[in-house]
Amino acid sequence: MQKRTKQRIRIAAFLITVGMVLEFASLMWIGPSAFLVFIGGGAFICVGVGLYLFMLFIAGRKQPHNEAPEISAS
Amino acid sequence: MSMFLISGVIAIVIATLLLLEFKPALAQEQGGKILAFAAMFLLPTAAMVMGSAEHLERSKQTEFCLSCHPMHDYGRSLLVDDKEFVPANHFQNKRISRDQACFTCHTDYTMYGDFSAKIRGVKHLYVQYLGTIPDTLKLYTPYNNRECLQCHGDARTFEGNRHHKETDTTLAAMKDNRLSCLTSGCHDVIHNIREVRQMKDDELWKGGVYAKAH
Repeated sequence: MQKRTKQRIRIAAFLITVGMVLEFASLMWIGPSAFLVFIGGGAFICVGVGLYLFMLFIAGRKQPHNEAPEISAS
Repeated sequence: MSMFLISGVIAIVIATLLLLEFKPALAQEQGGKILAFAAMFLLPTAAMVMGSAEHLERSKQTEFCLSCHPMHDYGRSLLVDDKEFVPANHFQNKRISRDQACFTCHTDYTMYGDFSAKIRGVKHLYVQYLGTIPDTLKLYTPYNNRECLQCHGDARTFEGNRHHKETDTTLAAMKDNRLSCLTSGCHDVIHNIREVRQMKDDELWKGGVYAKAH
C-alpha cells in the first residue's frame, strides 16, 4: 500500500470522526446553535468523504512515477 | 427519527474509523475495502441524512424557537392569563400542540410551506448570530386566514358562529382571506409584546407542565 494512500485514509478517517463527534454533540441540546454545530460537523464529513472518494476513484488509479513499488519479503 | 438510531450509527462509524486510523492497510484488503466504504461513505452519509431530518424536526419545537433571546417575550405571551390573547388561549387550552406552538401557526399551509419556513429560519439564524436584531419583529407578509382555517375551517363553531354569519358574504370573505381574522377588529389581541413586557411573572398562567418548566 502506498504511503500517500495510507496518509489520505488517515486524514479522511480523522475528518469524518471529527464530523461524527460534532454531529453527535449537536443532538445533545435543542436550539439554533445545535443546528450550526451540526452544519460544521457536516462540513468535516463532506471533506472527509470527498477525500476518501477521491483516493478511491481518482488517485487510486494513478501510479506515481517517483515512488518505487513495495517489495514483499516473500 | 430516533436519536438512539442516529447515535448507534455514529458510534459504529467512529469505532470503525478509529480502527482504520490505526490500521489504514485494512482498507486495501478484500473485506476491509467493504468495511472502509461503509464506514467512510455509506454510514456517514446515512448519519448526515438522519441528522438533518432530526434537526429539521427539532426546529419545529417551541423550545427551539424560544431559545433565541428576542423570542423570550413571545414565549411569555403564551402564558398570559387572559383569554382575549389569541395565542395564549390556543396554547393554554391545547388547541394547538404545545410542543409545536410557534410552528403550528407560523408555517404556511401551502405545498412548500414547510420548506419556506425553514429558509426563513436560516435567515433568522444569520440575524441572530451575525446580523442586527430589529427592535420590533414583524411578519414577512400579512397573516393569512389560511393558517387559522387549517384547523378552524369547516368546524361547526366556526361555520355556525353568528358573527361569522353577520352578512351573506362574511364567511366567504374570511375563507378567501379578504376579511382578516386578526386585523378586522375581531381577534386582534395577538402577542401584544409591549403589554406582555409590562406584566410580572406572577400575572402569568402557572398551569401545565410546559408553563412550569418556564
